[in-house]
Amino acid sequence: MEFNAYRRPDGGVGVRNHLAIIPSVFCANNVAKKIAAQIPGAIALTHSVGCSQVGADLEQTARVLKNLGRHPNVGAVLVVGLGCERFTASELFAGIANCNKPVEMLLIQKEGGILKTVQRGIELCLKLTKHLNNVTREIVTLKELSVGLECGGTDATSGIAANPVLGFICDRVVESGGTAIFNEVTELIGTETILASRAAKENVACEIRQIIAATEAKLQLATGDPQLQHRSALISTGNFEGGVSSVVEKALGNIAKTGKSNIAGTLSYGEKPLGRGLFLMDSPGHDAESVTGLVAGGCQIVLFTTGRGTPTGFPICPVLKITGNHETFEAMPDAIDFDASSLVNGIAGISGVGEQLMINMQEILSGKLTKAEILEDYELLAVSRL
Amino acid sequence: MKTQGLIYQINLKDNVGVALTKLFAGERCIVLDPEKQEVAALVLTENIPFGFKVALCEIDVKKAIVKYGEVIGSASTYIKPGDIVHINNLTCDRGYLKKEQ
Repeated sequence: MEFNAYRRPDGGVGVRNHLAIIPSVFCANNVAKKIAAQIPGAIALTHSVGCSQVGADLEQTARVLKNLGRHPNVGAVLVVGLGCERFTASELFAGIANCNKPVEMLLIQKEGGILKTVQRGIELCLKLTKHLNNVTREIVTLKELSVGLECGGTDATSGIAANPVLGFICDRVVESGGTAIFNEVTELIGTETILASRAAKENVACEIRQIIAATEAKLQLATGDPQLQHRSALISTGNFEGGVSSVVEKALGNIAKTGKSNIAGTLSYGEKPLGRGLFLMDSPGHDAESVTGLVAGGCQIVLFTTGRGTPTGFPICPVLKITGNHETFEAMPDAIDFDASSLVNGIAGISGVGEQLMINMQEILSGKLTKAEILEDYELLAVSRL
Repeated sequence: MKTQGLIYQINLKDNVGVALTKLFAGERCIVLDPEKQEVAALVLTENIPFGFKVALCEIDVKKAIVKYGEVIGSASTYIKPGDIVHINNLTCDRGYLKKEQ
């Protein structure tokens, strides 16, 4: 399968051509938004990190924000900093400039406040827009595609319809030489033996077990307080109401989206894989934190299954939403892209529905907007803390 | 003519099936195997909402409840074939500190 994408100076391909305005620290969020509001097509990547952080937590923030700036869906970047933050604007600037992406930088304290920074930001963005207009799409193959696999709002249809269809896509992408990444480790509890058996190498099997065991240990601690037993459910109200009874049941339905390929390796949060294939990323189950990790890991599109329905999307990456619940599709047509519910009662087979979703995905990759992009639903940007 | 209720047994090892439509107490439903072929019939003891689990055979207290071919929890009470299986009669201790015996 082929699709049309933008070739970037570092050799990667992007399915969008965004002008991203990235604050190095949350203090610059509003200035970034005000600049973006004046430039057609610009998006501010606002977040809540960048200062009062140390060690591995700060390193993780640095990695994620740099990788978002370097992302192939982004054609040009304006970095906006305050001037005193722990994660400096100049470090973010340098980390993006070294992949030869057009990038500029501003500091609010140096420019002299909000309005002066906004004005200078608009001037710089107009300059950067010229770079965006100089690129055109070319034909590329699945080898250059990295898909993120995500689920949110799980119900009983997720494991028998939407996730198996995603598994079909995942297998097709990986067989074609491309990459797929899954994460949400909280929702892998109970699947460690199955996943470890699919590891391409023994050390990968160990890493998979360790990642899941570490998350389970954290959960055991968190749910151990006798005063907080009413806050100890491991799955959501919506999951229970949707017929899912335990975190293991949820997890087993969840892994259907990873298809049958071997697992080539594991990744830290927001880390880009060095090779191709199917990878497990260590992320929490929080939808926004996990999608942010996938995009920072280089995924050019996120395929998101949802039984209960969710409007959410991500600023610089199309999030294609799929449901296996026909009622959900009918109830939220402006939030869901694909109806896989014909799999539930056996009328359709997985490969038939899978081929339809492949075509849908190809159109989205080549420029058609997802429902979330049409309504500018960008809730899923959240950098996970350690 | 009313279509017969369908229950899907995802894996041959499963002792619970998934209601593919809303099902009613007393209804005689068709059980579909993993290939969605008709293999058995089951009379329900209670209403089963769409997507919820129903016991395909009896499950004793503390015995494993199996779905997708794997243990998803254990029975906290005796379960009869045709009973709903959900948080009222299924417990799972993964993610929790093991209680002292």
